[in-house]
Amino acid sequence: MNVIEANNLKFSYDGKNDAIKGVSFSICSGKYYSIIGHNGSGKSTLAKLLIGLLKPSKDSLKAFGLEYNSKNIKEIRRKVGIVFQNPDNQFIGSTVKDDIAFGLENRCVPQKDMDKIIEEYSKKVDMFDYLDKQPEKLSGGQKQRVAIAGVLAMHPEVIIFDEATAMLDPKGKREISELIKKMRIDNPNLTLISITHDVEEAFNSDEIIVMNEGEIYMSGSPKEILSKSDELEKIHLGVPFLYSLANELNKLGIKVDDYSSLESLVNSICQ
Amino acid sequence: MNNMILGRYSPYDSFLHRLDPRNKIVSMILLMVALFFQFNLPGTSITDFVMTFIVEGVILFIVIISMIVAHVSIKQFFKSLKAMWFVVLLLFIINIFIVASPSSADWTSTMYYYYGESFRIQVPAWNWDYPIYWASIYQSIKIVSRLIIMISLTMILTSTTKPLDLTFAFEWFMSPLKLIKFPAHEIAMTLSIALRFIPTLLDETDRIMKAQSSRGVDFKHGRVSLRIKALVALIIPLFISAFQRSEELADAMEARGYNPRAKRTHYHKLTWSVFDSVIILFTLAILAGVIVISVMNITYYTPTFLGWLFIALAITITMFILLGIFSSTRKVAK
Repeated sequence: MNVIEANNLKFSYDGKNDAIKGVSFSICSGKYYSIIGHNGSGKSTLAKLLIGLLKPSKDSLKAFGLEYNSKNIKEIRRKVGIVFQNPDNQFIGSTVKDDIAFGLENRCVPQKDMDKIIEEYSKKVDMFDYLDKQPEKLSGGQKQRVAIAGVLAMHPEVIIFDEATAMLDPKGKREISELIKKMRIDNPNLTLISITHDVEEAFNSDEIIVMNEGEIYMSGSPKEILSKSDELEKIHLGVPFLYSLANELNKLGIKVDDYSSLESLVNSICQ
Repeated sequence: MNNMILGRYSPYDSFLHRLDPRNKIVSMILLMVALFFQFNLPGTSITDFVMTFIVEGVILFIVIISMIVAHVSIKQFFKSLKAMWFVVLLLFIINIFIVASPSSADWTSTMYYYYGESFRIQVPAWNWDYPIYWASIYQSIKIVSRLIIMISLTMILTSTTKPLDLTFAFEWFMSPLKLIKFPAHEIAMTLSIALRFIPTLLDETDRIMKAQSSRGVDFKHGRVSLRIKALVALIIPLFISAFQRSEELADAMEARGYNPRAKRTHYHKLTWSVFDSVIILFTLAILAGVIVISVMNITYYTPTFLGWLFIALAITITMFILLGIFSSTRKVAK
């Protein structure tokens, strides 16, 4: 089932230059998508369009069969959640508890149910011990986990990660990608759209959409995309070391199949 | 910055911490009103001063016990009094000239009302001889002591109430104004976001200062004009980043379904307990007592006055002892 459908989607900030130049794609329920592209490729604009912060032109974008307009936007936002890039600027409450509660307050969840929901979702993201902590006492990764808990607590069907790990240290990045894996196991129907410029991160997804200058450059499964390293480099996207190494080895006639992690790569070379 | 303006929140869990913030605000205002009653008695001014000091003494007694119970930082308290010296001096100088001699007394104005014993200061070189009335000194002490008690009262409020709870209380007080389309909720939300972002922006300030210092901007040395110029290098980046933040924050809030005009539930519920009723009745009783004393011209030499004063003090002490028994105080981890 397609949850989001874009049909010749265009968007322009100033009316002259299009930031998104007519893209068409469909997002299937329960899959994990990555949208990659370097700065200025229009991927963040796309995220804002998908959550309804920017208004798409008529009939070009639909979520759950609903047109993006002021009437439907409330319903769409119930089903689509987003985690932004800056951990500080999306932390609205004064403590972890308050921040998770913020979305619930907006959804008019009765006050007596909130504590239970907060407990449940803070445990899911492993932040239960920090419920009374203020944001300045938390690391970037912890703040992003709180943001994820806040989104999860609203039971969305689609979650967009708009460069959610870009400002984190390697440890924070690892934690978030672990959490994403766990979320997919917990709820197989959850659709994830991760917007990133980190090609390595995109490798875990089911499908990659590569954006360049407002257009879809190519799309396909991670293996398909990463095997076209020449084309990725043409649009200034680096291919991770493991994959370029495996590619070079394959070119030299050394057959390497499994290169999803360093260990498996070493194993397959040793065989 | 936050601490300088509001007084530091002390992370304890005393019974004053647990009181409803609405109650604390109202009680504080009631005690402040009680503090400012005039006892304009005919005759000598000394009666008025003595009565003022008796009433202030009772309130001061409550304030001191509250400060001990609430673990108000003594260091912080004296720090906030430091700025008072200038006020004391100014008041004293003003009062010397304003509290004038009986000959210039204008009976319609209370300021000119007080007179009595005086001493003279003489500066022969300037051929200056001016009488200073004791009343002017009393008057200064009276105002200063009122100010000190007022500062203590606000300190008790801010060190026992989290800023966010104060915002919720203010929102509650402003809620009747919603009928005339007054944006009470929006103001409370703005305040709470401002409070939330104070530490974040302080961090940012620190970071920008370090970044600019490494580029050769000197914030700490040199002439004042140069330092003010240097501040531009801090303020402009700070403003730009604050605007960026606000934009992203607005996006995040909207994406999570926030709509200021829509109905929303509240996670924080203000709860009114029995203790709150006791405390507010107690402060009302004090205010009523002061009003009675003021209106009925009761003085310290009125026969039953001392008896009533002792009863009032006894009730105060018993109440604090009882509240102390019923509530435990423990430190809360920061």
